[in-house]
Amino acid sequence: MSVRTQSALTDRGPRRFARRRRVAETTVLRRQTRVLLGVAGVVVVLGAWEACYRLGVVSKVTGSSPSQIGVAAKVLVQHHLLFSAIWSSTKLFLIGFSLCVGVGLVVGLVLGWYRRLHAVFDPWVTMLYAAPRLALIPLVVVWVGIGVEAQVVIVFLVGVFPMIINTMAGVMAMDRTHFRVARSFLATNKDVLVTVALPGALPFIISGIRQTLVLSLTGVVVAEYFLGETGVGGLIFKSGQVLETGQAFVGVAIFCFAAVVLTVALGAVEKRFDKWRG
Amino acid sequence: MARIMEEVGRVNEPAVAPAVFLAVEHLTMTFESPSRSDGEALTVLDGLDLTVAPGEFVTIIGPSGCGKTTLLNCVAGLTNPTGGRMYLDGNELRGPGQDRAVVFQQASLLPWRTVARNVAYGLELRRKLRRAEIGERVQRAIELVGLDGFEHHYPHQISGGMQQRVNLARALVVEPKLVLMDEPFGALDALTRELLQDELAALAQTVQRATLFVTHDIEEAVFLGDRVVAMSRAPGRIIADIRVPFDRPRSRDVGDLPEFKEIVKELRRLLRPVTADVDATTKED
Repeated sequence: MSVRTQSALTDRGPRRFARRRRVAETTVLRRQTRVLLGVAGVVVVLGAWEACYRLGVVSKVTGSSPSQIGVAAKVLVQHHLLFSAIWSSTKLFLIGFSLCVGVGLVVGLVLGWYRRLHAVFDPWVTMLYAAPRLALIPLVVVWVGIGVEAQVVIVFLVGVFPMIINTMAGVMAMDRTHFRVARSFLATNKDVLVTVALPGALPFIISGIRQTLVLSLTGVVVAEYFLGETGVGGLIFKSGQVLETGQAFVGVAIFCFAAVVLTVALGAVEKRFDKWRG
Repeated sequence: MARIMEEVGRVNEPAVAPAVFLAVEHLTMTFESPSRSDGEALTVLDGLDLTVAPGEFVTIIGPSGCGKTTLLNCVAGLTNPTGGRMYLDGNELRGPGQDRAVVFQQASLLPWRTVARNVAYGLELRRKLRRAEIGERVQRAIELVGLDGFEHHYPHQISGGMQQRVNLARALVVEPKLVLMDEPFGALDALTRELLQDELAALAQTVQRATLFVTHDIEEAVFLGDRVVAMSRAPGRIIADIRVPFDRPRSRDVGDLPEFKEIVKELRRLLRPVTADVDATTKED
């Protein structure tokens, strides 16, 4: 009996440990492979979508497919609706985004630099940033109306806070040693701001621009939905209301495309400013 | 304590009183610590007196927390002492000045500036020289510390030793009357540190500039200094002031001389933590 137990134990022991243990390893892909897999992913998903539509898996009334989106785009172009919508949205985006970056940068710098102002306004910034600012839309309508100005206000409200917060954090994160170096060479406050605080804050600022970029696009869509149904956002909204899902998807595709292009462009700008980082 | 006083007495008898270039008189530094609820202040420096002769290289050594860096910061004008006066070349020191330059510990280079632009930093802030002049002086300083060819590298692209050379060049290029060095080689690996010590010793010989060099490495202090000043743990007081008798230029071989070893041994005994002394006396009792 005891012998059997013994053998059972010894039998089980080695088997348990003999099971091959897979030690963690990382997978490194070549750039080519990566791009290929990415493209394949897009093609497969779009293909599956098209197949579902044609096989009737998705409703032909409320659903759409890549080819239907193409058809819808063609129709919109023929009716001179698409490019005017894109231009309208682009204008709104450029004005709103520039305002967000410009104002956010200045406010962030000031609040990061003057500790007393920071102490006074930080609760406000935090509160407004955390609050669902879209709740203010009705008030904006009351105060500014539903014109382009009101739309710009919405984009600004949606997009400006990451810019303020990141710039502020960047300025406040100034390296103490660098500050001491500047002081030892008799730097003035302005010298410290220009030669130490600002360059040091640049990575934060660029990160702020990235977040503001994405949020400004969202702001454009929201402003166009709720105020005047203009531009590409308005196009999506109106198309949805009349079940023209193909046209709605055209608008969505335009926003996706814009987001990708702008982010890549920003990445290129970032690289230029970033060569001092390892 | 009596032994310490005796020590100071023994080493403080210069044959000829040297000319005074830097005079630190009764320097006191007390930190009101806001984190301590009892409101008790921490005295880091307690009536410290120190003089440096023209062109003299003085190393300051002491255990961490002895206030040696605070002393340096006070002389640099980066910290305002709570008491005492300091004179450089007859002028009273208040705040940072163009007559002094600091070589900081590592990571004080501006990472977004190239080597050349880092060296130029101090000159640029003075707004006195034209761009071309700055360029010439920067180039000379870079050659002086042996970094020619690396002018356009960013700090992250060069080694820690090279970064400290840049640091040194940045201080020397403004041609200060007094160079203040705050453990500049503390973070380097042993081999690089020795190499830079050799070069600094040679450089001190050519530049002949009054220098205060703070370190916690005894051999480094003796190898580099004309005088080694040892400080006690807080409150910081000078417990020994030893003249190092070796001629310059010094080579590494100085370290093998019996006198060198004697000074090192003496300093090690003086700087041993107080707790160890207490242990020793308890045992004797």
